[in-house]
Amino acid sequence: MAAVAALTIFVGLYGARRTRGTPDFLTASQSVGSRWNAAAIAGEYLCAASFLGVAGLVLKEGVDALWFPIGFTAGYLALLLFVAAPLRRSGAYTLPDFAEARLGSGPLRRICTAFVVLICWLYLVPQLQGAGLTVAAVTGWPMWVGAAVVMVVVTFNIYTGWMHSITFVQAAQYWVKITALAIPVFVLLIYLTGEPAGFRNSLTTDAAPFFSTATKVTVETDVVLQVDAPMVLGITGTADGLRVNGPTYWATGEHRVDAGTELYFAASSQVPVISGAPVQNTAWLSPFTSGPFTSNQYSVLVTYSLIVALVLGTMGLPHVLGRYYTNPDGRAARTTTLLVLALLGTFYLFPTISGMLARLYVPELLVTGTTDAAVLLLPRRALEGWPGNLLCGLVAAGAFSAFLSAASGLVTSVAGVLSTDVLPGRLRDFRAATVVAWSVPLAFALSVSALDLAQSVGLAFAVAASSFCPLLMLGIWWRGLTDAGAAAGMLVGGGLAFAAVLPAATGMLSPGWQAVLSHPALFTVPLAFLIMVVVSRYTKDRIPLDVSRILLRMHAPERLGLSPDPETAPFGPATPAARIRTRGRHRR
Amino acid sequence: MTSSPDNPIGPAGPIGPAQQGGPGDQWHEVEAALQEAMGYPTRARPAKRERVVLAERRSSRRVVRTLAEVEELTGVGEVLLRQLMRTQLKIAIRLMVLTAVVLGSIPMVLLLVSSLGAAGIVVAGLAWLLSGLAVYPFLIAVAWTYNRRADHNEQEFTEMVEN
Repeated sequence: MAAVAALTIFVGLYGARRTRGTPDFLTASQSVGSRWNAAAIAGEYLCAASFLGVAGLVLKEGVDALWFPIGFTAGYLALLLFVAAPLRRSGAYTLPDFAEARLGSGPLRRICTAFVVLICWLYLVPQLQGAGLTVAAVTGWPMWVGAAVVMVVVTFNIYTGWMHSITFVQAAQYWVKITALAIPVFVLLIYLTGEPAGFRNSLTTDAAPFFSTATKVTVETDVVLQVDAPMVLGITGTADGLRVNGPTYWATGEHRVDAGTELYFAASSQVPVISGAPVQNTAWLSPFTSGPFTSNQYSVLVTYSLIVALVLGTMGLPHVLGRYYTNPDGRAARTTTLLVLALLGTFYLFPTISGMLARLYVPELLVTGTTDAAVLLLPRRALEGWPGNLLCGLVAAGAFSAFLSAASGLVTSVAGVLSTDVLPGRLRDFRAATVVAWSVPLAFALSVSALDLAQSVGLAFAVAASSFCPLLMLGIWWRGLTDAGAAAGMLVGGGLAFAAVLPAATGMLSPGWQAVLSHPALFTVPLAFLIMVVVSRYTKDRIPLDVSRILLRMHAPERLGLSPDPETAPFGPATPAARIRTRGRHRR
Repeated sequence: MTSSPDNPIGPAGPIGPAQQGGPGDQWHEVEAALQEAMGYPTRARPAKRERVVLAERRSSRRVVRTLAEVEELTGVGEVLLRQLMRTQLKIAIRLMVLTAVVLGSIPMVLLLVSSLGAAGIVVAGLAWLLSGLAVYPFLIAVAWTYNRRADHNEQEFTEMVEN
């Protein structure tokens, strides 16, 4: 872990020394090939949710959890189809830039800035919690250590001028992440073939998972557990409302365990599974047994809402879009996105398999429900001795790479907009803005209980889908969009989404409300579109006069020379509004 | 191709001043064809001036002029742009709908297979295979198809303009 952080810093410093100034930097990155760019984008995109969260969800919910990686990947497809080339040609470097270039409105730009900050913060909190989890799982140190370490490293890198946008560094991070998961998977699969057949096939039996060795589980928050068959276990603490100390008999059904209780399981005893997740392995294997398909009648809607959020939210993630500018032209932007899709698809195979392996080797996570640690704990539980530790370190390194890249992208995005749009633009202010940029999410991350990583990332997607997705789609494809319409749509749609998601992010609601409020996209996204269209119609007089020219620039191929040359006009097309020339990201 | 003095094509207004009656005014034909295709009425009007065609050389000046037309979005330029946008949007929407349909049909397929009495393990295996493995090549194939079509559309647009 320390090795990865040190390596990243070192490579970053080395790269920073090679770069002389902003124009050089921009030119250099624009001549980078599509493959490097794609790896870099994929490397930045694969955050804690992808790295840890997917495996954790697969462990808990089985095949139904696969909608998450599908949603993440399909989101990139949506980005390719609707946004990639036109956005690149617009010359805008960030989303507020795009809004201003397209509609020429200062207030709209400020609204966009506010949403960039909100979305980045929502996205940052799970990264920090994931980092805390990683450190806690690997070394046993408390959660805040990991979060603090990530922020320190990120800040250090930004202060010393490490450009996270150096394509090479980011591309390397993709390969780090995929090998960090792939190698353990291959090793464990090979190892698995050496296990007794009964053990392997237990995944397909009708029984609950079982502990292969005697295990002690400390319950940290109150949980309700389901027991598939009567069992005996040792308890020290409070269960089912009674203080217990010693062997206890649990009948089939649900049992409540309070925080702070320790549970002792003998080898080969059954694993009680947290309530709400499929218990028997056959149920876990089968589709339609968890998440949307449990008894709650709104569950199907909730799943569709999640899918909408994931697919439409990707294009609205601020740190993703900033990377597009390093493509030389619109056509390259498309090729790059295609390659990103391929890289993502290849990557997601491995957390999936890891989740399955975790069901065999790390079932105790099902008791506490903190399944995100699955990938981290898997190697050590499966293999004893130094191979296990080595692989565990590898995975932890990959995880940290995920947090660092995502966090630095997010913090830079926030600091950039804060320092240029909220504070007067100067380098010192950028550094101050960096501190502000991470202090709020850090406070949040440490104070609220952690949700499943993949689900809390989904909250950020929901807000992005309800605010920036309509802005981009309508702005690129519809001439009739006005700044008033865009502002109204973003405020209502995005605002509602955020208002719904914020209480859900604290994790303190009852499960029913939690499910509904954390998936507002099905409702807020169409609402945002509708309001944008309706208000734009009503304010037709506010359509920018040069809208045709702007659209032409975005859609016409570069060969015709209709777009401004990116090398000489790097900061976007001419707009009536004054453009602040210095941006946090370009100042070094 | 030569253009006749009473060339029955559309509005001469925005195009008029730029016209010097230079050699090879084939873009007039393009515009006429476009306007017919788009349903604009092609009305006969008396030619404002005689166009004398001296030769059929394509001149770079004409390409530049067409580019200027497109950039100023007069007449044919605007038409071409709208058409390009419409085509690109159509292909994007179609592919997106296709993706949604295919992804959404995975649960249907699984329900169908299980109702046909297949063993639970087969249904489960199919579920993992489809959702965990097969979707990704599918998404990549859709993306690749889109790239080809979009590039093709842009090339057509370019040819139209440079023609």
